[in-house]
Amino acid sequence: MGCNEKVLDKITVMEQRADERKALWHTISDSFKEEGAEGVANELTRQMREIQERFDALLAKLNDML
Amino acid sequence: MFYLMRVEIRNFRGFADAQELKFDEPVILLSGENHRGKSSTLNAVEWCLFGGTCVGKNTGIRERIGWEIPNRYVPEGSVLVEVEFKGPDGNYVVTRELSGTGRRASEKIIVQLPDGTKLQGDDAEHQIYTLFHSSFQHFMTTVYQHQEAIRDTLTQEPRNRNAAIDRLLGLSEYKELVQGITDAKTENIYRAMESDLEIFRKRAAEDVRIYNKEAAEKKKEAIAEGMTQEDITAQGALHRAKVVGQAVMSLAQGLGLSDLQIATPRSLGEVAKFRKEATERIDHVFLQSPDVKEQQTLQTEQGELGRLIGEYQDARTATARAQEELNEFTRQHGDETTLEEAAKAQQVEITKVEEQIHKSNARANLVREAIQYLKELVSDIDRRRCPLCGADKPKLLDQLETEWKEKIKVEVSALELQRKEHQDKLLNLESFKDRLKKLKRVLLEAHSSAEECTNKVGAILERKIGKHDDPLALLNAQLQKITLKLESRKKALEKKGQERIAIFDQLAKLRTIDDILNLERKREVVEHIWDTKEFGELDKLRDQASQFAEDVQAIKSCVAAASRKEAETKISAAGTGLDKYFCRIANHPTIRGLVIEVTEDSRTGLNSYNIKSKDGLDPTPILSQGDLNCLALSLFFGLAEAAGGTQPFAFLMLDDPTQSLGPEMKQQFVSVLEEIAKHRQLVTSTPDVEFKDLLMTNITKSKAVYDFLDWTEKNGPRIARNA
Repeated sequence: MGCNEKVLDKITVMEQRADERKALWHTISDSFKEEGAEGVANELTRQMREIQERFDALLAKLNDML
Repeated sequence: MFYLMRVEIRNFRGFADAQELKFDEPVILLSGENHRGKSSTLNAVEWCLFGGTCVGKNTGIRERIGWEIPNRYVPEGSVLVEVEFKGPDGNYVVTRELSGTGRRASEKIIVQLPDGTKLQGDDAEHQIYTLFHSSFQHFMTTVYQHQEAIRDTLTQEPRNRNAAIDRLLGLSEYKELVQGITDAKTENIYRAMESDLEIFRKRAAEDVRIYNKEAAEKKKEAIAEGMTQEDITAQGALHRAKVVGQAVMSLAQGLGLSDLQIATPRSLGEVAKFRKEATERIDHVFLQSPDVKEQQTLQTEQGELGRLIGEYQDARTATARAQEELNEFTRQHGDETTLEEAAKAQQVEITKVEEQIHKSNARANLVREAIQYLKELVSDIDRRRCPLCGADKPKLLDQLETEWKEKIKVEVSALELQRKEHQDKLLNLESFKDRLKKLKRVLLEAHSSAEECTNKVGAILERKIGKHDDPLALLNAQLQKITLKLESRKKALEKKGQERIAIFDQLAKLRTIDDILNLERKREVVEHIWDTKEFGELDKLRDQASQFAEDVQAIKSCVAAASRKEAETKISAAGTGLDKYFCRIANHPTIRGLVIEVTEDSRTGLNSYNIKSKDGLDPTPILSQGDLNCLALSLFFGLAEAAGGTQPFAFLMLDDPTQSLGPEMKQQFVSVLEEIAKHRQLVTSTPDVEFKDLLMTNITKSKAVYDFLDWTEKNGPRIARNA
């Protein structure tokens, strides 16, 4: 059994958000296959930054309301 | 199980022309100095089986980053590695070929089966997997002991040694994954968002406090100025605005502008606009009203009259001064006629004197000619005798001439002095005449200015100014009239001005109310900002980010846990072998056995390996470089032994395994190899002559030795086989 399956096994036994985390793991795994550790870092940062950008835009709007 | 039979290498790394090495003995020794192609030979077997998988960062081997497959000195040729394996059912030949470089690189793989069938591409890759059931990582930990695996284990720095043991155990992929997830810094981004949100919360709370304080202060001031609580409401503000509107219209009517309309606000939001409009209208109404306009006209006229009075007075003063100066001059020097006559008299005197001078000069000439005549005609004797008395007078003529000259000179000088006096007088008289003309001109100009002023007075008073009129008196009378009118107008407007001030006062109060209500409204907006749709969305995004960071962290934990579990399994499986081989090779006087425990590094989440002696003590402070090499070799042998039953490969490849080993350790190591060689084919490369001699002497299995003699760019390694 390879690394991918072993990590999946660990995620599957989690009580919380197993499905979402499996999907995220597939993304991580694919990025790793394509671009290694740097690819994983870039992909996760991109996803997090996406949320942050929307958050910042809303925060700016709320700041304008003050 | 599969044995290595033959390797053919062309243009792979240090190799150039195709060379074939037969691995047809149980023990194969690749011997020679460094940089002769020994490691490349072992690498060629690995690359033939696993291709691109054994290149790059993901291998966990630093040297494999940017690893060049083609020989850089033979740019045109394609790379070829062919390896023949002897399997249970016959020989298999795996051929991997690479042509081109960079993006144009193209790889070809062929597997020839014992029956001669040739498989290519994916079929060939699949066949390799079916035959060997092995990944590159597995191959690296149980078949091929890399130089770097030994080298990094020799470090005393725990982090590097942990990474090296990870690599020995084939867990580099996990390590890289954990590193990639850590580098994403999702937690940091989430914390930054939390921090921004906290700043926003604090700012909102501060705003509420400030709005409250300002509103309370303004309210207190307003009440002190006479406003009531009812006034400071939306209804109160609208009512006040209505009153102000009516007052503005009333003022406009009072000022003679009956058509002014001003819209009163219907909501609090319109109050600010109303205030601005009302202020502008009041100023406009005031400036445009007939009374104010007339007042402005009268003020303009008043100013003009004042200026004209001043101008007229200046003209009169100038005329009087010019007249006075002229009178005074005439009194002193006479008028124009007197001066003219005096000048003429002087001229006559000058003519007389000039005539006398002329006569004197003519007489002088006559006398001079007579004396000259006498000097020329009279004899010398007669010249000495007086013609009148006959007395002897020597130099009589010369004396006469001198006396005459003196007399004439005196006479002419007196006449010339007289002439000069008359001429000076004449010049003075001419100058007086000029001065008199100038004074008359100044007087004329003053009269002209006065005349002009009189005309202006006539124009401003709109009447003809006669000879017997006093313009100044007329102007003063007009000025008095206007001043009276202005006084009357001012009194009339003063009342309107008071109304205007009263409206401004109301507007100021309205502004205070508007400000207070605005501050209260802003406070309410901020107080209810947490209930807005925008904040709801923001909260969701914060949760989403938190969840994402948590998920990432959870996955990182899973990767670390899987890595740890696999490390534990492998160490557990290799444990017996590790202990056995370490004790035999290191033969340490105080360490009688080793145990490796794996735990999680709390900071990085990566595997942390604790090496303990069997008595539970930490042996690392007393482990030498040789001991650490023994540890790495023991771990490799332990893992290889643990995989023995399922291992498809019947051979082990060891690359320079005796780094840092002392003579005794080498002896022990060879005895271990002798044991392993009983059931495994051994392929060993070494530059160590002592180790080679030990192998040749102590390994009882038959051996093939390839000496790597030298290496050139053009031909690659020169290899000689010795029995």
